[in-house]
Amino acid sequence: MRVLIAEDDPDLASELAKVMRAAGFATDTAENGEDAVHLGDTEPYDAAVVDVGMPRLDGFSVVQQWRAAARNFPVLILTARDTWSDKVQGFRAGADDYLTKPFVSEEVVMRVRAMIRRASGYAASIVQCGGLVFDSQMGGFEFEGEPLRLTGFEWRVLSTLMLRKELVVSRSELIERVYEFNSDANSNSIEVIIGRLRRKIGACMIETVRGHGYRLTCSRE
Amino acid sequence: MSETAAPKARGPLSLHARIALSAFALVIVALVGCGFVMEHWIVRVVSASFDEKIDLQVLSLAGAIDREGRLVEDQVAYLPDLEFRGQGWGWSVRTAAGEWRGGERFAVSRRYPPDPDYARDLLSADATSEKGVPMHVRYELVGLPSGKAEIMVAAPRLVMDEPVAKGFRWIVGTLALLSLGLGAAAILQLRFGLRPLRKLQQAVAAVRAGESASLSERQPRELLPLVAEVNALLAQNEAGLAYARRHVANLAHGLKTPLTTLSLRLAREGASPESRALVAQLDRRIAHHLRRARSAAAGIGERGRADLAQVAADLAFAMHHVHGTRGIAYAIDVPQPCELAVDREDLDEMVGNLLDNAGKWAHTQVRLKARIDRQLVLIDVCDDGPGIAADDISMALRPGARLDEDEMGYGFGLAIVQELAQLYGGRLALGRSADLGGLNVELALPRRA
Repeated sequence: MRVLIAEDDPDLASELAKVMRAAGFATDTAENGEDAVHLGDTEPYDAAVVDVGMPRLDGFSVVQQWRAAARNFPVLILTARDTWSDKVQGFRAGADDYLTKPFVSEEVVMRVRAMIRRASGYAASIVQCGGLVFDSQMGGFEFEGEPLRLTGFEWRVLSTLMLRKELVVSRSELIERVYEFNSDANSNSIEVIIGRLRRKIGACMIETVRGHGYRLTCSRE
Repeated sequence: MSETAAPKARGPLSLHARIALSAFALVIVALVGCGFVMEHWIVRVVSASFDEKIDLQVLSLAGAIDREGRLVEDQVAYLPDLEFRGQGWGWSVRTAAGEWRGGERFAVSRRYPPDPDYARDLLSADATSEKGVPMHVRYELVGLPSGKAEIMVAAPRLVMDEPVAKGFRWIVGTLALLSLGLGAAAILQLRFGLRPLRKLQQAVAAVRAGESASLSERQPRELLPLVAEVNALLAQNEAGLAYARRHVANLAHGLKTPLTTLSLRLAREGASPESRALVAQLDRRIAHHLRRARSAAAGIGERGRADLAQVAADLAFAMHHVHGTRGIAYAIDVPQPCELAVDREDLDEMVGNLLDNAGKWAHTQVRLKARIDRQLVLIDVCDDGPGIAADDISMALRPGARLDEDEMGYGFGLAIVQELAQLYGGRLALGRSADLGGLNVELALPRRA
């Protein structure tokens, strides 16, 4: 899963990126509103964390532009001012949630996870697929009652497949949701990650749909 | 330095009084002057015609004096005393040959110099009759071979004064009517002339009440500079307010962003709970002072105006995002129109905190119902949550007091609402909701008529 952090303060952007990466998310950062609009328009994000007070274009306008361009990934607004006027303005602009500075790292991660879960159409935080259980709020996986130990890349691929279980996810989309903007994505590495995941949860759970991509399926052992 | 209450000084005269007084003074001066001039001319015209009548008598007497200086009475068709019999006329002719008199006897008291307006050589004098009646005298000095002759004819002044007085009475009456007319015209003029000023006063009051943002430029030419100055002042005030608010927003952003970084870094580096508590304390202090700064910048109560229906609808939309995922339904019932004399942002803050608090504690629903009670709007926000025990109500309104330790709960939000409501002369009351069973918060705020 991949998120965009739009924050003009480099220190905070860097800390937030560390927090999000530690939680398993592929994370890009934009240091002004215009860059944020561009990245949101061109990259497939699962969610965005947008600061209101950014140079060139404020956070509200960034969200408005995304919504006008039918970019519907969930957006968490970060505000320094804890006023309802600002929150109303944020929601009216198209934001899905808000967080007032300062906040603790767990809170931003939980909010982003909850937004992604809701956007994927799951009301409950627990998503199940056969013997595989994903706690979308805490971010952990269990397989047949045992906690599943995953690397960062494995977590990103499996959580993406889990939230779209029984649907085919293309390899290119998996690549885009696993790798950050400036990283050198190796297309073969997705096969390597899928192979490792199949060893952990059973080969039959992740189907290869030739010419299309991969599908997490719950119906067969 | 102590301030002492100075006695209330009398302000300068009102414009109405100034214009009315000056118009009144001008009318009085003009009419009195006019009266004097007209009286002078009446006196002149009446006395000229009177003199003409007397002069005729003098000339006919002069014509009846023969070469030796004797008055030949037979040559006078009518002697003055006989022609104006019973009217108190008198005459005298004095020559070297003798003196002749008729009618009322009189003694000359004052002689006037020749009047250049009269071509005739006749002169005027004042006299008094033997009965003490003031007389007007016309006389002529005629040179005769036998010496000088003086011919005098006297008529009672009353004969001349009466038409003058009558004319004067007419003039005074006419002028009095004229002054009444001018006074009425001046009042109309005042009302018509000062109407733009009265309208301007209403327009300024409307700006102060928040009904309009600036004064209309459709004004008489003389008022335009004043209106332009007032509008410039309003714009400056507005810009200052916007600047102050922007400054507060920038300050919030500038302080809270590094604080967030610090908080995240402390967590990442595994700092002690005490260090993390310090960040939380710092945040509370910053939030407190920013709220103070914002309230000071808002110029509370001056030009506040907000539509409760709009505010409640916007906030319900926001609450749907905040608490909607927990299945909390918000019902809003606000009569329309429902305008409050409160700054929009402050109303957002008060109602937002109430709806948010209710949403945190509600099981399934929150209701906002507003009703108008004379000069107040009573806003009830209730939920179907556990409510607050009667003993805890006073504690809930103490700033910083929190009844819930895990969540920003009733206490913190309600104290902010109470503080803001009191600034506007409103109040906050807590109780139990009869309908939903949870907490009922009644917020009373001033209505804008």
